Amino acid sequence: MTAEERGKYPFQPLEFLKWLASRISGSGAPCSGVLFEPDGSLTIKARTKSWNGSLRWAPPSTDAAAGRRFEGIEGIFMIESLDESVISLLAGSLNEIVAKYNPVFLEWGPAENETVCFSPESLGEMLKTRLTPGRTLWGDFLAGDFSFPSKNRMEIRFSDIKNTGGEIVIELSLDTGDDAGRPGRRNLKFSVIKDSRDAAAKKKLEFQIERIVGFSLGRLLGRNPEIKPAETVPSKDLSGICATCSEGAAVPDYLNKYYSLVRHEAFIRRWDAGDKWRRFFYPASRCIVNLFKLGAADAIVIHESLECVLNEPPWMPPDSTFFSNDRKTLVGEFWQRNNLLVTDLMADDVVSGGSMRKLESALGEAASLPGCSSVVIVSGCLPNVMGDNPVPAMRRLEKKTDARLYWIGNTNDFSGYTARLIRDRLEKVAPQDAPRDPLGVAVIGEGSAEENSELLGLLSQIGLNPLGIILPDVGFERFKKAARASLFVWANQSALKDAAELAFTGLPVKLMRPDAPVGLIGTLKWLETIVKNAGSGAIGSLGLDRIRYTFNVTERIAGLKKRTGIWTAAFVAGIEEIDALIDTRPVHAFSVMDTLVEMGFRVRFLAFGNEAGYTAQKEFIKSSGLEETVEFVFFEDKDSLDSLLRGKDIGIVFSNFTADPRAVSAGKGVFCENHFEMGIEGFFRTAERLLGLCERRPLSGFENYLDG
Amino acid sequence: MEDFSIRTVPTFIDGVFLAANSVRDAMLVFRGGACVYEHIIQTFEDHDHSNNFISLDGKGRLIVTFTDSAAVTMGAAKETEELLREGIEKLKPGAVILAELSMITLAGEDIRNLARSLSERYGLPVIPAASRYLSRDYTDAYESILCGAASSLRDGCFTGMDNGVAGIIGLFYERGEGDWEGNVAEIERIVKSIGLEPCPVWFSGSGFRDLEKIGRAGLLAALPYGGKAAGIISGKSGAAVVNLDLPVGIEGTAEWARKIATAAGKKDECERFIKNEIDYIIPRLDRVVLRSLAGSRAAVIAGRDWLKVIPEFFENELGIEVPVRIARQRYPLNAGASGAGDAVRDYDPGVKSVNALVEKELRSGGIDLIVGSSWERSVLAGGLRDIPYFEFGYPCKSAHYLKPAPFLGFTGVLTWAERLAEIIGSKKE
Repeated sequence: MTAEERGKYPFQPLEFLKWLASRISGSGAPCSGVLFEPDGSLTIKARTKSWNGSLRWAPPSTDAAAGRRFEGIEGIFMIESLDESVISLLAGSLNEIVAKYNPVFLEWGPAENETVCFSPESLGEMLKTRLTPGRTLWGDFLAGDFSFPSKNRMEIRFSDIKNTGGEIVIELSLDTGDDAGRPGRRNLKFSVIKDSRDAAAKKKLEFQIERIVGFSLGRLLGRNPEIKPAETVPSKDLSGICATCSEGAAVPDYLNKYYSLVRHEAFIRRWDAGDKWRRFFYPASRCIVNLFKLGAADAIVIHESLECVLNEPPWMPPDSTFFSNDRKTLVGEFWQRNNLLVTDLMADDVVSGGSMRKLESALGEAASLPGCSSVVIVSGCLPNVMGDNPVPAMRRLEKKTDARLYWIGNTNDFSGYTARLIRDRLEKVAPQDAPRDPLGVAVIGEGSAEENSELLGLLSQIGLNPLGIILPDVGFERFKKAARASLFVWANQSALKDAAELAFTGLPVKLMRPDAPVGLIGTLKWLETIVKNAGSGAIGSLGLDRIRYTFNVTERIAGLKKRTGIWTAAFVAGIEEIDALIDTRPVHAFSVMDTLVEMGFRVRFLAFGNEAGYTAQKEFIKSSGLEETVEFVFFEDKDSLDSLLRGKDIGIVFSNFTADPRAVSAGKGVFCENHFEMGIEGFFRTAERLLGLCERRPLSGFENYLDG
Repeated sequence: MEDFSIRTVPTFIDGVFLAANSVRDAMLVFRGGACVYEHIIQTFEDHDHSNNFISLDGKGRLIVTFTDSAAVTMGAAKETEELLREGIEKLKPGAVILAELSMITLAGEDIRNLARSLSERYGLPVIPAASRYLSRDYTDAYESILCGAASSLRDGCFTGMDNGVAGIIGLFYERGEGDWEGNVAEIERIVKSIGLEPCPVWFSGSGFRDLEKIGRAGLLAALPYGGKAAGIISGKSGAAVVNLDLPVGIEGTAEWARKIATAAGKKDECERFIKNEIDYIIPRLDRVVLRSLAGSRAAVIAGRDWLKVIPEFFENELGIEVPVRIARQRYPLNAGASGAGDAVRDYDPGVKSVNALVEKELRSGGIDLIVGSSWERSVLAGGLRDIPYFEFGYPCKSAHYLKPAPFLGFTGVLTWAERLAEIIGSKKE
């Protein structure tokens, strides 16, 4: 059954029950209602003026003596107060509906001779098709993520979407006890461990969460498959594999732990550090002026000497520099887009105190340029040392012009001007009381044109109205397109995250920062999180199903994995940074390693030191079920690292250095986070790009001659 | 109205990098912030693939004090001394170039005194390089470091002067790639061909200890930026000095060789050499010039050493008219020249002036070729980007030469012709 056909019945269970009842009655059977039962049974109530009765469709594993069977429908039927003609009408109608629509709610799960593991990947994943976290609603209660706090306990959480704080937590525990037999349904215990409902509410169907949870489990396990306990306790949430919504909370931890090691500046500041030979991980840290793109109606005035300006020329292309810069990092392309003025301070200006006169003159010229709506002053170190303060000049000019003025330092945003600039634009195109499209969504953090186009298309598929993308482009045109957005959702999070979010404070819009949509699972999770928060309801859910169906067209992925499976991607790291490489989400908002695994690459960590130091990391890989694809190999000196890098199966080596000589001299390709694109097609483009690096390694036939 | 558009003349810092890059065993200690290192990774790394300022083995030749604007008022002498000591221990350099950003200079520390005391302490040449006046550009830095190196020569270098030995001083060696390897080799070939023994060229990528050999030279041939340094060395050694332009073009190179030969008393050898060179070059050159180059018009934006000789070479020998000539220097070529604020000026190229001059000539007689660095290329606007462009000078980020390809000397004539014919020709196609 395709997702399109599946879309012919409601996704939400209460709506489904109504739909099913109307379908049965529409076929001429006297159906007055249908109800999920917590044991997995479906009750069909039949009523006429003269009698009441019911037909209860119970799981196949139910004692057959308790009811009867019908040909063509799997399960046991228990009948109450119905005559044969009504029974055959109801059963016939039900049979017809199931045959035509095969609703997932009514499907039976694995057969008796199959096994379900009591784990997130097995039981959790299977249950999600019926009870989908972030999507399934019962009354006002929304299903949340499943968690497995221990190897025999699972928790299913529902929260009140009216934001009352109401929450119900259902615990499912597997008790195999001393039972010598094969564990199955009967070993599962179902209990409500947190309950915000009062006694009166529990009597109402829309509060009876137990029905949907029990029914879903009852149907899933209705054929009584073996239930196998999980072998190990997950030491960490599996969100690294199946990314969860991140609010960036991990970033401060990351900074505290790794920043001194991995900043670009740290590389040169520690110019003689003895460990450089084994360090490959230096994620970008760029000056703030390069983190946003102004629009055509903006002017930039750089208040500095040429000496300073040309340290990072404003026409710098983002690639081919010492460090592999982000394809999306804007290393100053701004001079072509905006009016760029430079005060070009010289000795005379400094000595004679004329630097402020020069600045004021440049500001005046910038503000008077045709169509100029804002002027951004970027001041450097020399004015700092001299004590130049642009604010009085800005105030004077503001009285004479409509242009807005902002001031940022070359490395700092002293007074929150960046946030103010974004805020001004948001408010100008859409003041507080401006009409907004409830389904209007704007993406924050652009990628390439292809990535942008795909993300907007996907948002459209989940029933939203994608209006545009802002940041790092902060041009007015971008904001105008996004003016009616009620929801702003981050995609590429490489720049300006904290400053930009300040700008949204107090606006009547919703701001979301899920993990970046990188990888198939990552993209799906991004969309799921948006659907959960956006209120696009059934349309969104249907769209997700459609997209998920696209994911499940496995031919393309299978074809890809045949090619990627023969290659290993190597990471080189020491114990002090390896955690950050295993899960790069705090840095990049997506996991490089997980995406590689998803593509089918094998992953090898070349770890500095010895095995004993890496117990926790190895345990995590084991508990994540990645032992087959992720391995650890150890080295203690340059020679052994070089030898390991030359491993025949290694196609690519992770490094933030462009054409890292250590990898190049081993005849390997070099990749880093910047190779990864967002979206589904972006996933495949990335995989092809990485495969290209593996398959076409220039000069690899001459590796004995290479010296990097 | 002032011209606030961004300029493309390399700064004093660039000159420091270029000079330090030209002396293979020099350690560069830079008093400044992280931007110094940004400069290397954003520009120099792409300009010269052979440079080793930054290295993954902890032996990079660049050491930065990381003195930012917040720390500058507290001085940087202590960090400088510590880093310099560590650097000398680890890198064992032949010389140290001690440079600083202007904000450090403004804070009042005297880098020359510091260099002097450090040099005495470590028994090693420590050459100070400070912009002092922000208007000084890359050529000033290079010239200043040439002079610093000349002043640093030990007295012991000046023994056994030989009139058969020639020292070439002031070559603005831009990188260790094939173009400049070729230029050095070509200069040395010419000097040898007229019967003289060349010392390692100042500068040419050789180590500082090799540069000391210039003390033996009986004749110093000073190129445009080498006059002052030649004067310093001559003052110590008593060598004769002959001031020269760059050897560019057939006539230009012949004249260059004749001046050296005349000073050394080798005129006959020189004339025989020149004749042989011309016999070799002209038959190879004539068709390319007549079919591909003659009648073209070019804009040339280059350092003053090149700008002085390229137009004559282009016009007289390649048949290329040069209506646009812009000097890459921050001050006017001649007294009474156009002002710094003028959008149309023949020096201090910037966004406005480059585009205005090229566009003006494009409208009046057409422009078939622009010669300039990758920075001037970056600031060309709109349709001017379609004009064939020959990347030349610092920084040269797209064009890289993997084998000797001199632009100087007799061989350089053929390199110019090959490259320009291809660039202009491909556009015609």
